[in-house]
Amino acid sequence: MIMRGLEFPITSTKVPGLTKSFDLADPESRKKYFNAKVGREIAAISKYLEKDAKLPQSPNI
Amino acid sequence: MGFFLGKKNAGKGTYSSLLREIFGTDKIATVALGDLVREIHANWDDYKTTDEYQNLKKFYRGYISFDEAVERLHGRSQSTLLPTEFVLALLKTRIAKVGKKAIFLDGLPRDIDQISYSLFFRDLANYRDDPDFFMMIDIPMSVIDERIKYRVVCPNCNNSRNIKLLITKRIEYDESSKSFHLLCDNPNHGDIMMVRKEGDDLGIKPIRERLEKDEEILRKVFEEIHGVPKIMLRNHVPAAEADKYFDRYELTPEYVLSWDEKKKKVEVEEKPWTVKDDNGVESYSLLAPPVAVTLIKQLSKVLNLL
Repeated sequence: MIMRGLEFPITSTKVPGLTKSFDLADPESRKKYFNAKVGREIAAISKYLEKDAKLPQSPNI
Repeated sequence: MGFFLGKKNAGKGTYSSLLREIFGTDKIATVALGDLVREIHANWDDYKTTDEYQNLKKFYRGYISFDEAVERLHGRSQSTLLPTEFVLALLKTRIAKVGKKAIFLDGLPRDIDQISYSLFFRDLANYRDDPDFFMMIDIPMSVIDERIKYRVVCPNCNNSRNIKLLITKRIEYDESSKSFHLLCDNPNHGDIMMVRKEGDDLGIKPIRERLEKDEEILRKVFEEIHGVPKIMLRNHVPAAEADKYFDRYELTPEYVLSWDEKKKKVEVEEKPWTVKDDNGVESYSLLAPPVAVTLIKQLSKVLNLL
């Protein structure tokens, strides 16, 4: 039986002032879309993955 | 290390692929248990000669022998039949092979009793100093049903599209059968007609039990698990609220195909598509990129970056 009512909060993607449309099926346009919507977050995560993330311990198998 | 949780066909593979596209395959790796098991099964003779196999053998411990676990891997109909201890060993050895990257896992937990393992898998996989989090996907059954019913697959590269919801650039019309055929967009091969898979016309019917189990795991983690951050991804938005949260081009449209006899050309009309969500609310389904946007927003918060 499916239990109903699982509702996650809605996270908006809207950016104030951004009215341009993007073709989300096209890789180039998609890249611009991601930069327009979450460019700041992408830059911060990329930096984290590059410099700040602690690397995995050597596999001790 | 992120754990994808959500129903089968919820789009875990698609979101993983978008994350790799955005951040690069040098920084992000996805390990999907189902794909891993299929890959090992299909290439067993080669796999047996690898260090990964030796590591798997070395790491495995459980209630049945290693050889018996391997037999189950070859005879499996679903990865859920594999003992959890073997699943953990498989994932750990593959992660060790992947190397120094952020890991996104799909396939753990696959059952309620595997939730506890996922809470400590970070330590088990030697990522103990790194953050871990769940990435939970909420998607209505009705969306999965339509995705399966109208799905077409490239027989050459397994690329998957949907004749109603996710079409390709090139579409052919067969006048004799009066049907439309998508041609695969993969530039690595020529024009190949995408085909329906046997049984897809039944939609979610054959996998309903599995979907309900996936939903139960999702609910359990959502409501009862503490101490691990949760990224909550919604595939859908109530139609009445869509404009408040999203741009129109971010909503999945329906494509209506028709044949223009005069021009001898396939015409594509795009129109809004709504479904009833699991609570009966008229909703739009989001395209994958906006869901990835919500993932990235939440991920930056989980990592305390902004």
